[in-house]
Amino acid sequence: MSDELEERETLCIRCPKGCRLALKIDEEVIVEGNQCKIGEDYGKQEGREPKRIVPTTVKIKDAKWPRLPVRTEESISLDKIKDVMGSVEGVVVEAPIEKGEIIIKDVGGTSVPIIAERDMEKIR
Amino acid sequence: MKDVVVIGGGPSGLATASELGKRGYQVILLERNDELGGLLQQCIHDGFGTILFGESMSGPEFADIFISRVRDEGVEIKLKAYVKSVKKKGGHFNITTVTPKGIEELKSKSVVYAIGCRERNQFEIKIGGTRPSGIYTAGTVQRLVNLYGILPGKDVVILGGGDVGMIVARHLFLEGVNSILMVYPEEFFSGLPRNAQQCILDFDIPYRPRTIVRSILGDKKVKGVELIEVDEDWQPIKGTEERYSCDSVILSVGLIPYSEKLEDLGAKIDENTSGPMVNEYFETTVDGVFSVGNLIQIFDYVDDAVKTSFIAAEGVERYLEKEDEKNLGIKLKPGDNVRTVTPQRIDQTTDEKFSAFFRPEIEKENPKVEIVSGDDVLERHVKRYVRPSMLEEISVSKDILLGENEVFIDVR
Repeated sequence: MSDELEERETLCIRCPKGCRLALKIDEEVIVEGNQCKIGEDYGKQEGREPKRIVPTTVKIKDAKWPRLPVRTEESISLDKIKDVMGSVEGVVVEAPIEKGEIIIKDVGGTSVPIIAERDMEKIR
Repeated sequence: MKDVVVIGGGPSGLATASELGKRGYQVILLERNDELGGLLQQCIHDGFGTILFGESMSGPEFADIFISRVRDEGVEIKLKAYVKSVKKKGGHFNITTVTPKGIEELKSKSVVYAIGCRERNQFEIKIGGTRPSGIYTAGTVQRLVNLYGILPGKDVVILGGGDVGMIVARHLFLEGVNSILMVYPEEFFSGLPRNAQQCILDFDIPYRPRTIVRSILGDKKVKGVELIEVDEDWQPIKGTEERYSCDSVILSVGLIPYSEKLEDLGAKIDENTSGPMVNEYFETTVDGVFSVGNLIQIFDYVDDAVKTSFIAAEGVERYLEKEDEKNLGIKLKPGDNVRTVTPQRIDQTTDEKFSAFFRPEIEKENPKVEIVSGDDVLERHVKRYVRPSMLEEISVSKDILLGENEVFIDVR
């Protein structure tokens, strides 16, 4: 077991100022560089587990556009993004598709589904 | 004769048309493309709707809310309808459109322009070298990647650290291009901190501040660029030239309101915003002609752009009901440390307050935002933090302006 702290830098996104935060991650997350309480809370969340919504597209047949925009239904761990992109690659769907329809049930082992961002009608 | 013709089926046009439909007016919405939603259909990332709806959704999801609304409110929608001309005749407007059926003429009592903005292109910035294929604007790349699944190239240089460039960098990274380098003349990304973190820093995408593309290299196709460092005044520093190999160059160098059509109609244009001069209900200098969204000025958030639609809808209603006394004509101008201000004039005394949008010229913590006439401070607001990349909004009292000819917004 290493008792070295993990250190990471991030940019606070809670106000236009965009403070540079230094996160020291152990059992607790220590936030430096913030100038307010909101920044501290944000830094702690980012330090524990930064999460993001992942947007991408899949191939769609018989539709107006060649690609259907999709996204993870909820935000997933930042370090799982590669896995998500990997499991979306090569997926082909057929129109019609409705907004919110589940395209992949459990994407990249995150137990979060990938959903369609919009309706796409069948053409011909 | 219709009450209103709304030109443009993007978010601002959709919001205006649905709001006026809801208020009981006969509305036609004209869209030149073959689907509604405008630019949002290619903005597949999340972050839309946080101000208006308190949740973060994607562009198509945000658009869908307003597409449903125009349908529910009985707005007549014409797709593939290009507006060739709008002419004012007496108290109404003759609108000539080109549609798949041929030329169609419409008549209406008022017109709302919601035709948005366009991207600055390579010919509007000083960039040397040849003109090979492989040079794109960021919006074009977003469209190619997200609607067609086509990548512009394998090794990409993005010029400009604004929001569109950063968002496109993330798409390209996730969709698997070989390399990306972002360069920009500012000290730090000029877009929102949110995008700098979630699009660039999250993925360690390489970037170089205080650097620009001096020239593009290549005969038929882009072979590379010549980069050069710049000083604080964006002046190139001799001896810092560097050749960098790439097969495509993406320009993310700003958006400009698409105001030429309004100019043709006789509307006055503000040289600071490049959009039309408008009053507090976003009526242009031509009676009965309104403008909304990114046509007025570039908004950072679609939520704010759509706010102008609701305000303009109120203005259109007053115009149609002839309740729009226009006796004030008080000018609102950018003062110290302010780059742009809208509206540019205040006409009506009704309503206690109006929304003023301004873009600061400086970055400052807890600045005072003052409405000033001569040496007098008429009203004072405080902001948490301002920076040029963030458009700010304040709610200004009208009664303090009465009797003034022109007032300024200062940031100190």
